[in-house]
Amino acid sequence: MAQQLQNITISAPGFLGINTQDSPIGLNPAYASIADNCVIDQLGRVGARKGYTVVTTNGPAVLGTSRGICCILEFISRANVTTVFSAGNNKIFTGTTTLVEVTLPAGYTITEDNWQIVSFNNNVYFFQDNHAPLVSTAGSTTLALLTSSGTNVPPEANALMAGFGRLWAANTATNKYTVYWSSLLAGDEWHGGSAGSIDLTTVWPNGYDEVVAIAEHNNFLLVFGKKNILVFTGADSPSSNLTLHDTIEGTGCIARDSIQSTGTDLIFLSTRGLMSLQRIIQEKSLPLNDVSRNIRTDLLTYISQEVESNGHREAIKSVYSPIDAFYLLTLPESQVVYCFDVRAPLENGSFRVTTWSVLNPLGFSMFADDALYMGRAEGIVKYGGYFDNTTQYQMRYFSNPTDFGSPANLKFLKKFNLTIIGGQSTPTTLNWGYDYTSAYQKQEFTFGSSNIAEYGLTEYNTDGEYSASIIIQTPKVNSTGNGSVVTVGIEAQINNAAFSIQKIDIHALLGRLI
Amino acid sequence: MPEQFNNQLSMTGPQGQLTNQAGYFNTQLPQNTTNTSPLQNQTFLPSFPNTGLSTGEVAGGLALGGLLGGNFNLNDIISGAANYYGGQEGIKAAYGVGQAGLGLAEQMGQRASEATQFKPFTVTTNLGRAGTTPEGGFTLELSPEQQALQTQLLGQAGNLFKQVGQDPATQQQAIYEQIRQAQMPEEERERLRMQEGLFASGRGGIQTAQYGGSPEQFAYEKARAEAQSGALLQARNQALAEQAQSLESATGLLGSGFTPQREALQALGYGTDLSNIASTAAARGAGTQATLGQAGLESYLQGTQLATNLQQQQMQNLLASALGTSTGGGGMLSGGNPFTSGGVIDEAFDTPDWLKSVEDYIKGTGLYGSLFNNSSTPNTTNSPGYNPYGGGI
Repeated sequence: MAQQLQNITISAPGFLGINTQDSPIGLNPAYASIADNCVIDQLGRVGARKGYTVVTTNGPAVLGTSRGICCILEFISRANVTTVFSAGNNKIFTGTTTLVEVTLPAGYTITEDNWQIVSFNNNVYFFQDNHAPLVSTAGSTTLALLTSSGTNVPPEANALMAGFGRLWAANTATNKYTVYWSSLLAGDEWHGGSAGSIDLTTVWPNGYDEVVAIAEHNNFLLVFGKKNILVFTGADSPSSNLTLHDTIEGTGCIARDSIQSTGTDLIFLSTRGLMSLQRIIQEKSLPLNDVSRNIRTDLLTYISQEVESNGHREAIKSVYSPIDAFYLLTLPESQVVYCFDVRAPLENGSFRVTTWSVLNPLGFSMFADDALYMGRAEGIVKYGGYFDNTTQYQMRYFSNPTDFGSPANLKFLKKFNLTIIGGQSTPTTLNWGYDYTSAYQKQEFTFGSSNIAEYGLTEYNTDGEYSASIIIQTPKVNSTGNGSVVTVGIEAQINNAAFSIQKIDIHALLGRLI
Repeated sequence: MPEQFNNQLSMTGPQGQLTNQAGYFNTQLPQNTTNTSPLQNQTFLPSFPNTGLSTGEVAGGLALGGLLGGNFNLNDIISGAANYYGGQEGIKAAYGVGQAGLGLAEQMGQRASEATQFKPFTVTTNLGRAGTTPEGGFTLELSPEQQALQTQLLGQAGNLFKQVGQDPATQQQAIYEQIRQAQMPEEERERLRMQEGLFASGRGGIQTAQYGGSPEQFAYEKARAEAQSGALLQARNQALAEQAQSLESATGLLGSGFTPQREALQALGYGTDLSNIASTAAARGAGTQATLGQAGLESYLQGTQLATNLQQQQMQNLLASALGTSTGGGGMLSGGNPFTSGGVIDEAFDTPDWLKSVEDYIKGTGLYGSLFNNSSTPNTTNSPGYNPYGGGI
């Protein structure tokens, strides 16, 4: 007698992001084991990330065989003149479409592209260790050395921050334990006026540490060591009122450019993963809040592959996009970008996380128009569209092995009913496998080529395309095989169209007990 | 310093100067010496004043005057010579009376000097002995206890004077160190509190362009510097005050050190007052004696002067009786030389020989003879006043 098919539904598969830390058995099927080139879209679904378009036209000419653009900063002067500064190939450029080398001081030689570029008081300051600090006055394309006469030599610091009306710098080649601050509103005054410094040798709570980064958050001055964080108050008048408010032991920052402020959280990369400082401050009883705990091991593995120099992993960059509500962390050596959805943390306090591959950004910058720009080998690229510079890219989703609540029964998968939002002539491969295998059974199919109306882009008096604004695909795929636990995956070649997985319905037979 | 000090403490010596030949003072009493007056037991009488003219020369002069006058009268000559003699006797007697008065006055002065001569004396108390010297000085000899006390006080005064003589900066530094030692524990506590506060608040390593270190350190160092400045000023004032106090104390001790001497000298003053009783009595006795002697002498001199005058008057009367007067006519000696041997006057008064020879000179052999001789009688060549061509007056 034939048994009745049972319906197993995976609603919004992977919308909890990747979880490779917990045991897959019994894990919520909303977690994914792989969510590559995915984001959590506005409806909480796993969808394909956007692609990018190359903005720079002379990238190869100016960047040569270098890694590419590593640093980008958009500066808007008081005169409302926008200047984009970028650095790569041991050069500093202005512009986005055409990268133009700035004029450096005579005899000035750049040996690294690890600049920390900060806009402060209508000027742009360029700091990195072993390099005399540079300044662009009001966005000038001619950079100058910071004023230095006598002992008024600005620190050749690797960490720079603008806040509380002054510049803050730390981590020189010879001194990694002192934080310097400039005079009020004078980024070129480091030894006069209200300038000063603080030796943190006696402040570190856990022995000696090195300053990696400085940040301002929630009216606190945060000094990030490798293994400790110092929280200071009174930074608005540091000479008189700078006071240690709190110390956080065991959690530091290992990548200067991983620090991003989301407005409510200050996110940074530590040796324990990606951390949220605000939660540490708020939850004194739980000072360590690892927002990357679901991928902790994978993340730390990738981090370990990054080259550490100048006291931190310089190549790791990050960006926070308030529009997309994600925090991107690029690990160039691993060619992996972790995308953390910061809308709301999960129950365990972590962010939903996906990965991006192929993109390989070297640097990020959010521009004033809320566009995300990235530095790549070919120059500056803009995040958007669903092509990676005119080419398709693959989105991959794989669930964790799941037993559907009946760990002792065999499962015979008969049919998949997929609900896909978007997709346009998207080659897709459905993968399924039993009992933790990675040798998946595959079924390819292609979505239709229905055009999607482009609201806002329709040209009146032309051939307007009026159809459904969102294409909903519901492909059905028959499947075979059996096993006690099942893994399901979808691989889609993003072909200039959004692609989100709304639901996966599985018709299965529950077999005998094993 | 004590040596210098001792050198400053010189006492008067015998001539009224303080000496310090053996210790601070010469405490040896002087030997009494006898005052010797240069007039003692000596009578200096002036010699009789000599006019240089003898009676004969006077008589000769008178005879010469008679001759020259052309009316020679022997009686007048004798009368003039007698008057001259009488005057000479009166002068001689008066001079003798003066000499006698002078001798008596000197004897009375000598006795008064002896009676009023200063006699050194010594006053002895339990503080010591104070004695006077004939020269008008004094000596002091303190008792051993007072000497020891004086030595102690003067030694202490010397030490204090030594402090007074020091550079104030030295004492100032010492006082400053003392003040700072008193302040430093609290400063150290404040510094520790500040350090604790700084490091507890993480501000221990702050260096600022405004304050050098942190404002707390600046405030602390400023307060510390102010305390140092205050201590320095306080030390300066204290050093000067102590120096002034040392000077005052030293002066007081110095005065106290001389108190035994002063008391001894005061006792000497008391002794002097007592000795003045005796000396005053002696002086009054001498004065009385001198006054009485002077009165006696004056009485004697008056009596003697009166006797001389009476004698001279008597002599003049006798001469007038013998020789007559110009108004009364001739006397007893009108007829011849009354002075020659066997003459009236010679018989009565044993006239001197020169007077006896007056006639010889006048009448024959002498100068007067030539003066009184007739021009027909040549003068002898061998007589005094020979003038072979003279015929007399």
